[in-house]
Order: sequence, then structure tokens, then C-alpha cells
Amino acid sequence: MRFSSVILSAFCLLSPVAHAHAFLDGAIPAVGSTIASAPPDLVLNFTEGIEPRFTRVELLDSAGAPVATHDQRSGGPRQLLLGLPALKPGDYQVIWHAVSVDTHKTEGHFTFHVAP
Amino acid sequence: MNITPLRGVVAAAALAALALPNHAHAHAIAGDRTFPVTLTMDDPGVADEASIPTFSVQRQGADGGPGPVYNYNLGIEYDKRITENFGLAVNWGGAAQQTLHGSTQYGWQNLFVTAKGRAYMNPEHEFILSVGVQRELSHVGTTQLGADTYGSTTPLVYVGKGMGDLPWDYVRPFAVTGEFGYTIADVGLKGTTTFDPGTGQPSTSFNAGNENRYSGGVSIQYSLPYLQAQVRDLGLGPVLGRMIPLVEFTWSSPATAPSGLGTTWQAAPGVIWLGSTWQFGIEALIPLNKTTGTNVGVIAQFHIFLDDLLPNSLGKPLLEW
Repeated sequence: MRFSSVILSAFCLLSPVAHAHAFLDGAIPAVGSTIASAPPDLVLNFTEGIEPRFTRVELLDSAGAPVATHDQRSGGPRQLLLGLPALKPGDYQVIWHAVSVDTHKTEGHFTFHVAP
Repeated sequence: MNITPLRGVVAAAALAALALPNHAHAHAIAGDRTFPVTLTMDDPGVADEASIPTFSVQRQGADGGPGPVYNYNLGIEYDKRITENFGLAVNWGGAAQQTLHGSTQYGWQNLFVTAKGRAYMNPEHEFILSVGVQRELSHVGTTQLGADTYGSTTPLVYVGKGMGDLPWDYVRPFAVTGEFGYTIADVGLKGTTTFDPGTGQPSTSFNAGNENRYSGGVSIQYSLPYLQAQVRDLGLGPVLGRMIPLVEFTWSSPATAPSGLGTTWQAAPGVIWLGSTWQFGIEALIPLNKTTGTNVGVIAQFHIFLDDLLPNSLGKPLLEW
């Protein structure tokens, strides 16, 4: 068997068990975006499956103060939802700490802007 | 000093070996930042992973020698964490050398073992500092293809700094990594000068030792995954959005005299595609001075992250400490 065939076979075997670090794969509101009004939920999509119980999301206003949000809940294996109140115009920062299903920890933060 | 054709070939191979140091590669995460595995130098990470393989080809001119020489290198690497922040890496590979008018020669590279430990990490400022030591084990590689006859030991310092803490949005995806070392040869290079009794012309012959050398590298990276996830989602998609354009600069210069090889400088611009469990990188190898060479080569690497692929077996540290 050729070496390349061996490698390919190995990956076919490995891929079903691979989970990896969970990085942000998109959000609503989008990273760095300006929106007219806040959606009902902040949606975070990850590249890998996450453990919702150990994944935390925090929303800060332009003064750096925590925003009182609604419940955090799972929207699917790779999705986390955070209920949002009505947001005043201004800059908001999302800070997330994720734990993937294979216990790898990742973190990140981004901002979005609510237009007046 | 006259250079025989064979010495010209070996010199070309040695230059290629210098330009492509057998450094351990490991990706690293510091806060929001993922430092990818760089191709011509090491990054500050300690991880469970493997390069299968790294391939390079570069043509070397050989002034006074047999003409152009094509150096092919095919290397593998295995990185294993012993504890969470300390690991060992092994690099080995094969080499082939094709001359214009001669047959292709095949051989092995020397074996390199690297011990590396993460000394400090500041997630908030995306900063990592690691230290290590690399041991070159001789009598493994093929000296005719440029492998050193004697081994060496290289203490190393590695740093990585992401620019995510800067206030300028489109500057934040930038990151810089560096690696700096001092190679101490087991057997020093010594020259013996003799004079031709007839002509009185001097000629110098050298032993098979090496001079001590300073070496290092700096990479400048622009992470599109970081741009997408931390700064602004430009909708780049799964292909472009996971690319990290970068340029790596590597350098090596003699620290003791005499010196068999002068100072070498190389730039390696390219791109790395960073996946969840693997990455692929390809870069041009551009000599920046005549000593390094005059022809552009290429290096490509396929690298897997064992801590992501096999988190409960090969991908975890041997000791929970």
C-alpha cells in the first residue's frame, strides 16, 4: 500500500472521533457589525461541538458594565444562544469562553454597534 | 581556497540545510490568538502534533562546482507533551540531491531532538515565551548530502505576540513570532594552511567540524480567522477565512572563526490554511544574500494536531502535572 493511501486511510479512521478546539464560526449580530436594533438572541456558532454548561458568554456595554441578559441556552451542538434585552444605541462587547466536547478551552471577544 | 566539485555539492547541500533548519514545530494558543505552525522556524507552542511531511526543494548554484544542484528534503516530525507545558520533539527525514550532470544521490538527514517548555503566557496580551534546547545527533545523516559529521547543541528562546490588544481594528489580526538560538558545535571547525612547495601558493584544508553559530527567525502573520472572529466578519467563507498570510525571515551567522559558511538570510512568504485538526502551509524560499543562494525554492507542509484528533490517547500529556 502506498504511503499516501496509508495516510488517507488513517484520516478516514480518525475523522469521526476528532473534535478539536471550538472557535467562533459566526455570530448574530455579526462580528464588528452595526445593527439597527438588537435581535432577541445573541447567537454564537462554533466550529466544533461545545459543552453549554461550561461555556460562558458575557455582554458588556460601552462603559464596560455587564448588561443584564436573559438565559443562556443551547441552540444545537455547536450553537449557543443568549437572550438579549432591548439594547440602547451604543457599542457592545461580547466576551465568550468555550469548552469543546473534548474539553479544550478557547476564548474570544468581539464588538457590535447598535445604531441610534 | 579551491573548491572541488564534491565540496561544491556538499557546500550547496549544507546551505540548504541551514536554510531549512530541522526545528520542531508546534501550534499555540494564547488568549484569543492561535499561532499556527510556521514552516522554516519554530513557534512558541508546546503541543501534541506531527508534520507528515514537510517537503522542500531548492536549487543551489555552485560557483566553481559542478553546476546547479537541486536539493530535495522530505522530513517528518513528532511532538509529544510530557506535561501540559513541556514536551519533546523529534525531527528526521530524507534528502535527495540531483546534479545537472550526475546521478541523483539519496540519503538521510541528521536526527534532531528538541526539549521545549512554556515559561510564560499572558492570554490578555496574546503573549507566549518558551525556552528549549535542541540536540543534533550525528552519524545518522548522510554527510555527502550536507548532514553534519558531528553533532551540536542549541539553546533556544521562542516568543509569540499577537496584536489583538492594540486599538486599531485592522492591525489586531497581526502577530509576530520569533526564535533565537546559539548553536554550539561538538567539534569546532579548524583550518590548516599549507604552502605548495613549488608555487608557494597557500591552500587551506578544514576538518569536519563546524563553527558555533547564531541563528534565529521572525515571522509576521496576518490571521484572517482572527479578523473574522474577533474584529469584523467580512464573510470570507471557509476557504479564505481560514488563511493566514505570513512571511518568515530566518538568519544564521557564524559566531566563531574560522567559518565554513557565512551569514545566511532567507525570506519565506506564503500562506497557511488553518483547519480545526490540521493545517497546510506553502511558502517560497527566497535567499536574501548571495551566500544563501540565488534561486527561489519552495516548502510545503501538512501538519496534524494530535491533541485535537486524539485528545484521549496520543493527544494528551503523558503526565498530569
